[in-house]
Amino acid sequence: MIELKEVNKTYVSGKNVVEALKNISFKIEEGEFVSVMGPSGCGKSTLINIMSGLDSAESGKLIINGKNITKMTEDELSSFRLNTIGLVFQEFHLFRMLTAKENVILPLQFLDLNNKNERGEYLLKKVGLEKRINFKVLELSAGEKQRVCIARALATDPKLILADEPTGNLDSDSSIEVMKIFQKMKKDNETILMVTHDKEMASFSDRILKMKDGILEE
Amino acid sequence: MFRLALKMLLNKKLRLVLSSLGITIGVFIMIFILCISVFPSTGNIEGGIYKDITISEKGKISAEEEITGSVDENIANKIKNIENINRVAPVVETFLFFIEDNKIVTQIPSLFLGIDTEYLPLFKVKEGEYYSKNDKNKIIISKAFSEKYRLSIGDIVCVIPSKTIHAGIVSSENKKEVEITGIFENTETPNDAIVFGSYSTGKYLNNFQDRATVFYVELKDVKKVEETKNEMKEKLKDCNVEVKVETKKVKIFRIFENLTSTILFIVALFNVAFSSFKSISSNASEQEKEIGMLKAIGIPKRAIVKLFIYQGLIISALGCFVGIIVSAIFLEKFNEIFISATGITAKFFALSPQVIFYAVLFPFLAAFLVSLYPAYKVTKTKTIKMLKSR
Repeated sequence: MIELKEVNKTYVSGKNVVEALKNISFKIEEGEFVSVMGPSGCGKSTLINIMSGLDSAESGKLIINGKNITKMTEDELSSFRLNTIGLVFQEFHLFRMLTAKENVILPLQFLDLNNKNERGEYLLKKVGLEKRINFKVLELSAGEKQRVCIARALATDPKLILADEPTGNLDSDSSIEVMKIFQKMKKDNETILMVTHDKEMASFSDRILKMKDGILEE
Repeated sequence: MFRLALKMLLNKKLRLVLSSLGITIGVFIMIFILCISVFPSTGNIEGGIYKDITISEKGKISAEEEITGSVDENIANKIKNIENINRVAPVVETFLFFIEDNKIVTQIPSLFLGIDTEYLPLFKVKEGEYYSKNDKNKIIISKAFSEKYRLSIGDIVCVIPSKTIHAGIVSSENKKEVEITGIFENTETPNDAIVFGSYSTGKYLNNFQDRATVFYVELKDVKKVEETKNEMKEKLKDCNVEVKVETKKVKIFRIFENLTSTILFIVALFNVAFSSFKSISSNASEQEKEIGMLKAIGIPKRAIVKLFIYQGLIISALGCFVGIIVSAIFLEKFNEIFISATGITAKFFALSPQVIFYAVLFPFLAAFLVSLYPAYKVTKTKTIKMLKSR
């Protein structure tokens, strides 16, 4: 499902050169729930950004669902993200003026699908927000916002869910709720890669990859 | 996407208001320039000025020829219900000789217009005062005329209608005394020897009871002049009157035509385009994070461009709407000031459909074009950078 081969990324900030990722290589099989754990600044988010095509690697290969995304153009990456990847962000990145359902069905507007509204409602029910379907994002709690974000990530029925610190802004109860949703998704054969610095959250996954200073220590 | 564009704009109402304000100012300036340059000289002025239609006795000549006929003043009641008629002004037109010691002192007869001041076009009294509606023997004369015959305010002069003079003999019973109450600067008069008095003074000079020599009809819509004329003719068919169409143009607006109006028009266009660009690009830069979110979830580039175009068009629509309302109010006030300053009763700066069309078309075109640049700019910016922006 996912294969990374010697992926490197370096940032240059003035005279400082930071090696964010050093020869990262790993594989994730379909239906696996994998966590990448490590302290702040170890390169976890850079890894997610590169895997989602939001950032580019300097060298190495990144094969997702049989496609090498390092060779894709901006437009191809955009289409790839829309169809193949669901992103869950620490800061949710939802449109505050839209309702929960409108946020969820936003990516569907660009796909040739029928029953977009019904799908939006179904996904919100799936994450336990059946009573918040028409609530504006502004009116939701942080935990509910994250669940809307997960429902949006699932909207296009992606092959892979990439979650960047999905519990970073949540209290412990909401965090556990989110992890339970991820476990449910795994049972539905979703492939999930989650970045976290929280040991407890990582323990919900099948496998933990540890990162330190841009190096992966499996 | 349209709904999202609208909601994104409504989410930041102050920003929307400020963005639209730029367009509003541009539209306002554009309408103002169009109204004072391109359109008033042809459409609105003619539409507003009196003498679009005149009614006089059948077979008798009115205007600046010798006027011999007269019409019952009650005919105004017969036509006042015609929809396109705004007002009907009864007028006594006659030629006057000024008399001293039973001798004619003016070589050429003066054209006297007995018309109440509310209908007076283009004359502004600089010295003295206007006559009032009830004055029966007061006149105002031009400055050139007063200098030529050494007439001044307060002078009581003897006049006689030229049609009452037979074989050069002045009949004393037709002689009338009138007082000069004001002197006006000539503006559009073809003849220095033009004299104005009230309608009542006109009747007094001609020994009229309930008669006028001519009626000036003010139309609401000058384009319907022929239909109105025909309707009027039908209603007055038993009245032995002649209905004629006369249009006049006001020369003072001609100065804005041709080169000047073209330059002003281009300035207005640039102003609208610049306002649109500033508004839309500042709007775009403040939405960096939201656009980053859309890009992150894989929304295609063309949809983001569409979002910007919709936003530009919404801002333009709002700006145009407010701009037109503000312009309408301002032009109404400007009309009032202009009327009180010049005495012209016409509605010069009316918002015609033509003006509105241009005032809306150009901001929309400008909004469409200038939306493309910020849209292009954000699609080229890195998504990660946009997501991190505040």
